[in-house]
Amino acid sequence: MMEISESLIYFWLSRTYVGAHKINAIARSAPIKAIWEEPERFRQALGDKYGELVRTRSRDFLCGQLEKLRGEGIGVMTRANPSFPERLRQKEVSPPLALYYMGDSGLLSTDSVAIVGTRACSSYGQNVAQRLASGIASEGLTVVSGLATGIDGYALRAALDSGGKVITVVASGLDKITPVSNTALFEEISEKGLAVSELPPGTEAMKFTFPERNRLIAGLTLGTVVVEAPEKSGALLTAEFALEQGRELFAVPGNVTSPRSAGTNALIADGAKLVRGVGDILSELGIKPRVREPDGMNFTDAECAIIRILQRDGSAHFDSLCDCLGLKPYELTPLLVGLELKDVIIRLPANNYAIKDLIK
Amino acid sequence: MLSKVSSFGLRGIDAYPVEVETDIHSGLPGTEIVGLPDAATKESKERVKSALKNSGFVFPPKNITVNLAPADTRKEGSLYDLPIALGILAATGQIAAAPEDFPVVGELALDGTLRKVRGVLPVLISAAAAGCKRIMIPAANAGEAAYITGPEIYAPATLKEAAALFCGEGAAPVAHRTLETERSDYAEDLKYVKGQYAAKRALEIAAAGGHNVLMVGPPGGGKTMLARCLPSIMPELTLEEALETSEIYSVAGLLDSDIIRERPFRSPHHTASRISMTGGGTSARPGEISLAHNGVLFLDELPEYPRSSLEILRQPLEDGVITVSRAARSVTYPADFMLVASMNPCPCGHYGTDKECVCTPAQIQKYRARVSGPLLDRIDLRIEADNVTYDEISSDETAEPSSAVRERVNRARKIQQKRLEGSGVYCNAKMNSAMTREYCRPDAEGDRLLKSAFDKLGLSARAYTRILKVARTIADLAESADIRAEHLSEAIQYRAFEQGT
Repeated sequence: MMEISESLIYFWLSRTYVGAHKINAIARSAPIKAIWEEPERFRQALGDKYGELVRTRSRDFLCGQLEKLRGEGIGVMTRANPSFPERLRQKEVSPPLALYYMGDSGLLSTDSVAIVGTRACSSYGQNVAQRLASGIASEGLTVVSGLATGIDGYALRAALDSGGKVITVVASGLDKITPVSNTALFEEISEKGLAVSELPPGTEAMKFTFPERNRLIAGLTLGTVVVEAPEKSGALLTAEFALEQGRELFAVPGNVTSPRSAGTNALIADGAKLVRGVGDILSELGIKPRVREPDGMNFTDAECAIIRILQRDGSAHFDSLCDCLGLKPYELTPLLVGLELKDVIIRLPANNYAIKDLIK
Repeated sequence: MLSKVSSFGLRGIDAYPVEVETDIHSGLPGTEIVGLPDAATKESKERVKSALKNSGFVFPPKNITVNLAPADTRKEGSLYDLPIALGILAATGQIAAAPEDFPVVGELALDGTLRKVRGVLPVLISAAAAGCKRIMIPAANAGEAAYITGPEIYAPATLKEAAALFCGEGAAPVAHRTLETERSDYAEDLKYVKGQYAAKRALEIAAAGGHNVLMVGPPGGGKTMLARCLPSIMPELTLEEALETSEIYSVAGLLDSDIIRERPFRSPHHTASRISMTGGGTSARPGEISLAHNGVLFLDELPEYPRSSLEILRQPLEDGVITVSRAARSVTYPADFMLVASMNPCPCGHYGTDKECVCTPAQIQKYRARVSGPLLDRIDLRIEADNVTYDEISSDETAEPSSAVRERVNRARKIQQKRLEGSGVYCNAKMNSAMTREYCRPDAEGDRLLKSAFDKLGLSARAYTRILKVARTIADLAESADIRAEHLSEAIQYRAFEQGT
């Protein structure tokens, strides 16, 4: 028998999608090399993939396949690779056999936080997802999410826009990604961050590939933040995985009358950490927030007065700012625009204003 | 015998001279009107017959030919009744020969009284421009006559009086009046609007510079109410503008006893037909957009308007006129209005309010995308309106009244008129790029501010020009010759939607 690396064996196994769970079960009683050397021994355990496995059992063929993928820009990191993320080796995760990736694989070893939620999110959910994502990214942590529309997409986009590190884990092969509307986002992440899949290229997304993908999102990260999820959301599955794997679980509260927050509110009731801002996440993970000095910003007395009112009340309406400060509308507006351009305040709908940062 | 009486015909809102020739000859009794008369004009002969008889005159039992020259232009309307009647009287010698240079228009009732005719104002204006010394119109139209200088305008009430005037006897001409456009009693006044500081300020800027406005806000009357207050703060109509607008209303048959002295406010519903918007149709009446000339065209719930209706606005927004095609020719109506549009912040209307918004971001995006293209490009100011309650009773703490705002707006508009004199443009919103470059230079600090806004907010070149024009108006309101940073700041605040935001 020709010498064959463990890595190649994992690649061989993952190519046919025989499934990490099956292999992990087999691996409890036999070394991985044994499957390669005597596949007939495991014929029953390998199930209907047995035939294909035997057919592709050729070192040259496999090396050729690896070359082909490399040519297409897709890297393969198997479990045998020393750079394979430690957290994914954990038994409770049911470690994947290999990861197919595009982009910077070094990101797999960084500290990361997952931000997940429902596809049909509200503007509130979108807003919070964006704030948390850019906040986490600004602290140097990697943001991890699926590629779905809604919370996932907004979080990834916001993290990218803040110049942060981003990993997306997809539920299909890297060449068959869905949804189509997030193609541009996916491409940007493959260039500037890391796109990762447990499934070999050519695999279409199917119902059962999504929960599998969710287990990886939970597994890769230090903790999972669920931003907005109704009662029966897929995001709640990711939360469950996080708990099984002993990860931190965070949830953002929502209006008790909003069905879209029913899932997240339930998580909090069951013990997930309530998130009011990035500070809550960082403190639970034991990370000290970076000291942020607004660079050389001097505020005029009038600007200070505005900031003080906003800090005290959380937000204020244009009219009440005029009345409190005794300013005419055309005197107040330039001040507000100035503060907006200095990134200190943001404009909310219906002429309301609030302080920009949520960080405590 | 042959008689000639001068008159006028209408083409759109222009009047052109028509000569009414009447010839009586022997033969079987009958009256023939030639010169391409339409149905109403053809029926003239019946009205004239009865009117003559009932006024104590004789309708000759002869063969009568009436020619309305020029013969190859279609004649429309009932305004030829009076000149035809007088022509017949002159041709039969019942009155002295028709005087030269005394044009006449009017519709006759069967009993000989003169009825109101639409389009008298353009006729008067054309007559004055042509140098006529005298002109005769029905008494019912006298209200339109008071502001025309030039000819003596006679307004008899009956055929008998008209005939007498033709012979040089009769009442004096209509007295001339100078136009007063100062009116303090508008139905809607800003003083009844509580709060809405930002929106009111933005409307003041819009009124001063003639800028088109998009108002975004929850359903409930705040936006509509603010829009209705707009005419009360817009700059005074000049006499020219008043007459221009009145001509259109005259042609539409909407002038009562007086000309238009307030800026019009038209708000067609989004189910309005194309024809009602543009004008035209068989009777070539002006449409909503022309009736909004020199005033405000308010489109409430903009995303509800069908694309085809919004397409219609392209030409008026570009050129200030609308050309409608009719059977054989086209007519051009003026349509220079200030566009004010309103929309909800999202399909359910509650985004940003205390009530919960049940829309997904995708739904919101789709809703906003319905307002797009040439219309969006023409919006200079975007205002967010809050929900307000309308106070019909003046309480102790009323807000600033419209009259005070209007004063500032008038001052700012005069500055613009002076600056742009001779350029064919009379307000900042209509400046072209050359004028913008010349008159809207920011100072050094302003330049820095604009650059920072550009980078941070991702503005386009088009947004840049719009901000400059609005800043120019803000500076004019502050009576400042230079555009300073605070003016630009404010203009940035009210910047309009960019495509896709």
